[in-house]
Amino acid sequence: MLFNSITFVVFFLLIYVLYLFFQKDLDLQNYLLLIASYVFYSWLNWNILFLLLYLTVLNFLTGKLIYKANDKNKGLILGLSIFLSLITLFYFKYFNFFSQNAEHLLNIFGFHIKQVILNIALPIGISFYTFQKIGYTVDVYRNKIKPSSDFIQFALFGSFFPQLVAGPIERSSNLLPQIEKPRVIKLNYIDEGIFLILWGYFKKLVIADNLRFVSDQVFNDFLNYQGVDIILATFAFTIQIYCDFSGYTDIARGVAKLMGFDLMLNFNLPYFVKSPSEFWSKWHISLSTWFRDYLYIPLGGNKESKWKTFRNLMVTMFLGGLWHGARWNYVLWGCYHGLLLIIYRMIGKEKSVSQNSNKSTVINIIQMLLMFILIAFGLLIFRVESIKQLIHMILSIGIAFSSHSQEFLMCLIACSLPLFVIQIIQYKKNDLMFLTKLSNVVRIPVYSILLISIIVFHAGESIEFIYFKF
Amino acid sequence: MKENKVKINESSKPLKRLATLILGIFLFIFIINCYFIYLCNDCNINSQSMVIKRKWRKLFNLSKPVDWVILGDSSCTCGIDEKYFELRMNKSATNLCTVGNSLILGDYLMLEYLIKNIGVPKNVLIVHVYDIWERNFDITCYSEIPFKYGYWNNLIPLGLSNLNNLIKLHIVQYLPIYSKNITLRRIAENAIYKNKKHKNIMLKDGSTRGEANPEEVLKDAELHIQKLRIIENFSISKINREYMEKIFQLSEKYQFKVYLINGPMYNGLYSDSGFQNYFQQVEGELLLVSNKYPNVKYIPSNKLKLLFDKNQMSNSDHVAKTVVKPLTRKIVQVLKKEQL
Repeated sequence: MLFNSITFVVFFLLIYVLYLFFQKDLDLQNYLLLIASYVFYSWLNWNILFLLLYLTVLNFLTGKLIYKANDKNKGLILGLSIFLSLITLFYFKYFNFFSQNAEHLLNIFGFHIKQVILNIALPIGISFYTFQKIGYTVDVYRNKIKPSSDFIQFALFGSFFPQLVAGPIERSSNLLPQIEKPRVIKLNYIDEGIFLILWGYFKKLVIADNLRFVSDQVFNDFLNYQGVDIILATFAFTIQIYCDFSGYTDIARGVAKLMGFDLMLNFNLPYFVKSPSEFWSKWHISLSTWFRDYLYIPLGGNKESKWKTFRNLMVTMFLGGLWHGARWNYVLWGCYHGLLLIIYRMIGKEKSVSQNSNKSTVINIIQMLLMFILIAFGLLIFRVESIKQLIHMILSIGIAFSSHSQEFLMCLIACSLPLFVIQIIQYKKNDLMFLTKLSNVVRIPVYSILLISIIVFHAGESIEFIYFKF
Repeated sequence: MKENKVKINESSKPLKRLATLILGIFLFIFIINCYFIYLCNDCNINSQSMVIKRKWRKLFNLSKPVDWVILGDSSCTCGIDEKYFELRMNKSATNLCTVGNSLILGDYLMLEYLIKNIGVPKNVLIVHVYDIWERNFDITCYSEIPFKYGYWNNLIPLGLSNLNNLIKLHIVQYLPIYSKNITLRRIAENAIYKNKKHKNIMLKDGSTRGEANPEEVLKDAELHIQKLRIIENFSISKINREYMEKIFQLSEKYQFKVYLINGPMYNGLYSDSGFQNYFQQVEGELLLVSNKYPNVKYIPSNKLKLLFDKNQMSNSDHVAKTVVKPLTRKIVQVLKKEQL
């Protein structure tokens, strides 16, 4: 079920009325949310529910076993649990990729084998909920939390519908306690929820879906475009993917807030940054902190030698890229960011950027613009379908205008302007929720304009969120 | 960055603040919606809506009966020049053609209004493209008719009274913020793009004029041919048959002549064997129905030959503005010959 469909709106309103009706009974509320989550997830294909259930049971049981086991067995059970979770992810997401690449590699060495291709659809959101459950099991292993004793509560933790298919990848220490204890729906949560939902839908339906016409036109027909059009399409995709993904997160967080849940922040003005490490602390925060806590730090983080730190960064970013999908350009994108992190560290920019926040505005803006261009270039790598396309598009970048350029530019400006205006205030005020604190005299027209824009300027058909395929 | 745990000042009475916000949004949107009703009332960007509105207003403004009333779809909205028709025919005429989705029911509603409020015409020319006969009822077109509030009560006998249709009708008429969002979007795009991205040539009376577009003609013809490959047998939809017969019955009751013809067409489409197979069925059916009424004459396409080259058309069944006069002349010539 898509957030940007009438079906979801009706579905949520029904669930919400029932949810409020059961407000005094936590168990009933949790049952309701669990059923709603399973219906939400299996709306178009009920078969994938078995996968979700399998991973839920696996991590619930292994969490309990780890807690009871001695130190020696704990590690073994954890290893087995992670292996079984990742092998499932591998089977659905990466098998064909590895099979194809293995065949190519063996062909090079003269071995001709028949390629094995599995005809299976990628279950939506598999990477998100697999990582969330692995995170839980590791947290139990590290004694950061006690294992959940209630299967229904754990199942809800592993399938909570607002964040199930595209995150945020919740931490057990944040979401589980909210499931276990009665929730109070505070008025300020409703207030914030309304803003987040409106702003999320606006970002997705008005900005991202309209910019998609520019980026898709160029990227899907790249042989016929060159010069400025490539640059404009890359910037369009840069704004599009941010609004698409952060829009989803905002809706998820807003919907959760209406029910009294507080999901973690996933985006924090990631394009207003001056270094790659700052970018990764503000972009897809739930995933980047997951990799930090469960991979980068266990590898040694930055506590060892400089070269080991670089290795750890590269391994983390390589796997971060691969997490997005079974394609070489995602791997390349991850490595590109790994390289950026290393270069900034080598030239000492990471420190100077954080230490020199009092530098003149002009220097700050230049640093931000440079970083924005580097991020956009990374997203060019991310968006292409093949390395061949990437090379062609990079070589086609130039300053020549085409008959489409003006239209692309106008669309880019018209779509990005409202985002820029709101975000510059958020940045200046250092407050993402500043609108909720303004007087109603300001909020009423602003919220109304957002709502009217969603109705009038939405791009038409329900377009799937980009991150659903990850 | 502050994000969560927002402290709302207790003295600001959060409930009142939230309620004011929600009510304020409703009020704001209500006002904007009223402005959009005004904006969409005479905006030629939504050509379907405006053709229907302007043609009905033209009908309301008629002060005396005419010799020739031309009814039909967009093929004659853009194809028949009323003044030139009058000149060649040497009789008074009015072109009230609207759009295909109005079906024959739309023609009937106009004719009925004309007879009741202005007077009986001497002749009625009905022009439709071949593919409207199978179409079914869609309330959207009738929601654009600029009758006064509550007019749908008059449509109850026509079967338009079901709740879904009434809701849709109200949404189309009174909630343009939702129902005309594409029009509003285009208005905004026209404001952004200096070269006016969306433009239609629409005359004051609702008639339209199109440019020749050979590429579009070929593309459109191919779509028609593909669609016809799927349809095996032709049959007139229930609503079209019912109101065609009602028009013919009116012709008997009020003693006026009805001429029924097919709209102009791209000759490449006409010569396609698949199309011919379907089209012959259309002609056969129309002939069968019209033969039952002495005041009705169906003029088959082999007599009319309203066929044009791709360079003379804007799509496979709409002529370009350069061909409007030749097409009108051709129709007048045949009508003169065929006059009963």
